[in-house]
Amino acid sequence: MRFKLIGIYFLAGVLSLLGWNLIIGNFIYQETPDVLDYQIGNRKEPFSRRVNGQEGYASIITDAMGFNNKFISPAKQMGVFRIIVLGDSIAEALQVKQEENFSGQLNHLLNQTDKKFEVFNLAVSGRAVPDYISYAPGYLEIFKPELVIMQINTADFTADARNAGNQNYLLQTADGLSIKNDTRLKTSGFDKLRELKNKLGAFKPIVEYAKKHFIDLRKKNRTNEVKADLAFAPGAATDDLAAIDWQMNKLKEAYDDKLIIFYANPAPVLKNGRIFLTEDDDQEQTKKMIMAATAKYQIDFVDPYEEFIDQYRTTGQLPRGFNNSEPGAGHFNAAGHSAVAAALFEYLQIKLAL
Amino acid sequence: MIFSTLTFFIFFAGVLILLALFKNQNWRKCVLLGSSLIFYGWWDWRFLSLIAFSTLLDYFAGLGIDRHNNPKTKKLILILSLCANLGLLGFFKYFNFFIDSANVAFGFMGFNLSTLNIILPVGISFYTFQTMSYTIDIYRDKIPAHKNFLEFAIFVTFFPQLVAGPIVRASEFLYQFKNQILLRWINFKEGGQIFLFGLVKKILIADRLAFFVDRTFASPDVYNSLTLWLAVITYAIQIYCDFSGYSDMAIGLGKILGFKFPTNFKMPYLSLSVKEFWTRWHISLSTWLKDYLYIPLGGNRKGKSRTVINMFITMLLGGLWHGASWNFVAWGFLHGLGISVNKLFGNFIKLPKNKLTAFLSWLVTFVFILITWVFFRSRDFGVSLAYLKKMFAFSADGVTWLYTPLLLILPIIIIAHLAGKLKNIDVREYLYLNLRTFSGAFVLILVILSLFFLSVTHPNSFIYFQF
Repeated sequence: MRFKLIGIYFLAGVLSLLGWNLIIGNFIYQETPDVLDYQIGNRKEPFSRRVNGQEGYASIITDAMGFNNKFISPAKQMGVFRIIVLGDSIAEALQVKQEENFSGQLNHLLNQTDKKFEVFNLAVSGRAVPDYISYAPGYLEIFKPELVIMQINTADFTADARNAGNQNYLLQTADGLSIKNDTRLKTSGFDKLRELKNKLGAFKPIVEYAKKHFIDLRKKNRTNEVKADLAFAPGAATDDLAAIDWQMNKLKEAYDDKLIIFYANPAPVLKNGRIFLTEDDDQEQTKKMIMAATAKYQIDFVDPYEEFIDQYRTTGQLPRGFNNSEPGAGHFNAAGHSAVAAALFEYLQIKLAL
Repeated sequence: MIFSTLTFFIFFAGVLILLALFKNQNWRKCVLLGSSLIFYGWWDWRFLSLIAFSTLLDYFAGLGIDRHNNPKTKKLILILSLCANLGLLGFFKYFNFFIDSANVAFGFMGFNLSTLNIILPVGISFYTFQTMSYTIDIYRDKIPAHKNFLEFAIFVTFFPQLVAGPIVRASEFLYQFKNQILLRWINFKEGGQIFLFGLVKKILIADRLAFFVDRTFASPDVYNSLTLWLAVITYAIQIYCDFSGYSDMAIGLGKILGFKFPTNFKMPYLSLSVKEFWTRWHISLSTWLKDYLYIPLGGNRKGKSRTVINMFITMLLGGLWHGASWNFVAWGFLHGLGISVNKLFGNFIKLPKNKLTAFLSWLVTFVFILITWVFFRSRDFGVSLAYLKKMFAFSADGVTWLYTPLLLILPIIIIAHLAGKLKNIDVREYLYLNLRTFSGAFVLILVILSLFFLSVTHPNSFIYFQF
């Protein structure tokens, strides 16, 4: 009798795990291992499935290089105008379908004109400006783009740029600012972990999600760990203006006239009958510093502010947030990506005389 | 220490291990008392002195009332005990509220008293009502004074229901010490399932819905009317699952330890009138208010107008019991109004009893309850009014938020309630699992996995802890 009961519980346990594995892998979360790349930074495994159901819902297959595109090829065809998109999770856009993200929509809009375009989305979650500076030679050599669209937030030049947890981060020394490349953080034991994950085979989604969920729970319950994650590099620069100026100068040196910076605005909200952008004073201040620096170094700057306001006024749709997260907060939704694509297309129409 | 955290599970495992180690009944009682004090002291050890004071006060007050034959002496002891209990409650819970209100009311006369930095001790409203009912019941000769101090102290401090009820009366609890404190598999199995059911309500429903409710109630002007209606429905579900989830967990824990607690909820949103709602919602509070406030005020024995006044007083004070805020007063007032209208309307107009009138009665009652929840949840009176104004403007201005978890949970709640109504039993009873079968084992493991995978990453405190 006891053995029968053990058998029942074992079978029930295995079936429950399998059921949860299917649910998680198809509806909640499925991540794919990174491929080590010192030239343009770590990226995901080619042709692997990524599922995001925690904010919006999308299930995508990475392209031949592991980015969030339908198609990618470093080999360039004659007469094709190539644009690469750099950015963090906002531009990577795992929350919407591939054809709905702004890279995909911009590609579609541009190819409605007489010229042939290729817009490649090379955004990777967690990237910040020091990464774009460090990997610039790699991007330019591999993809040979005509234009580089760089999605930025205020934090990309400030807090994120100084995060010592990143592979590339801004370092303040007696000699001034520099970029520190810390490969230890991303390589130690990484191959073995990936090997182990691959061996887990069918149970990969549930194990990876359990690990992620457990870490999230632990982080939320222990503020000291959260602090550790956000620990800035030793001697981190405290002068935002100097840091932004230095990074902007480096970006200009690296990408020259190919660079277009697009600012990912927060969402507008209706309060007391008026429409506001949900941006605090610090963000507003940093945005002004970024705009001043782009003007100083003659870098093109695209701000989809008007598109966001117009879209909200006419359709009531916010550019950020989803029904399963908070409207107005978090990543861009399909409406937000449309507004961004429209702003960029309008800008490129003038710049490229389309 | 919140029931839905790992800390509590470790704590409870420790309690069970200690109970298993000590076979002597007195030692087991010491374990229960000690663990209850640790549980309470976990929040703030300084308040242990407060609960110790309450325990000693009412223990000796009970003995005093029981021992003396002179009615005047009995009454004097009771009054002293009630004054001390209500004094503590009044000071910790209502002092700043009354000072603030007085400053507002008499501000034009230059009245400006300063408030004190007072921390509200967790569960003070619950254990104060418990101890008060004990001395009143002795005074009324309903129960004798309990001589065993250890058992009485467990009654006041018992950790499963200490901080958020059910409000257990001495007559319901102390007699249970006649039985031995035994750890039995059957109790563990049944109590564990009741606890798990409460945990599902709390973690999978209430905590997940809190995300939507917190944001919409924080800035109602941002959202359109549809979203605000959905948000208040969501809050109705959240507070039910949060509070009844806590009650289930308390009942389950009590059962595991060999104690029985009264039922606190009976599917309240199936009510066809506000009066019926109060026979299904927070039953231990509503019966307490009825027995120790409404009936002593005269109940329905002194004419119609006096009945209505008594009802209003009871509901206003019931509202104020929840917290020191005009929002709770308004909430209590509305419930008093609802019950009075119910009573007067019911006496004058006799509706035919059919499915249509039943449905309409349910609908009116449910919408009324939703309106009262707006006052209960909003951070202040102004927000409540702004929320209601936008709700009833039926305006499309603002953000539409069809919160996905609500759309998944709502049908489950409706089906569970309808099934419960059809079978005339509580949902919990027909979900009871036979753990020796494959289906029972499968559901149990699936639920435990769900609790892990679907838990939100910020365990919320129980709503009723603040009361």
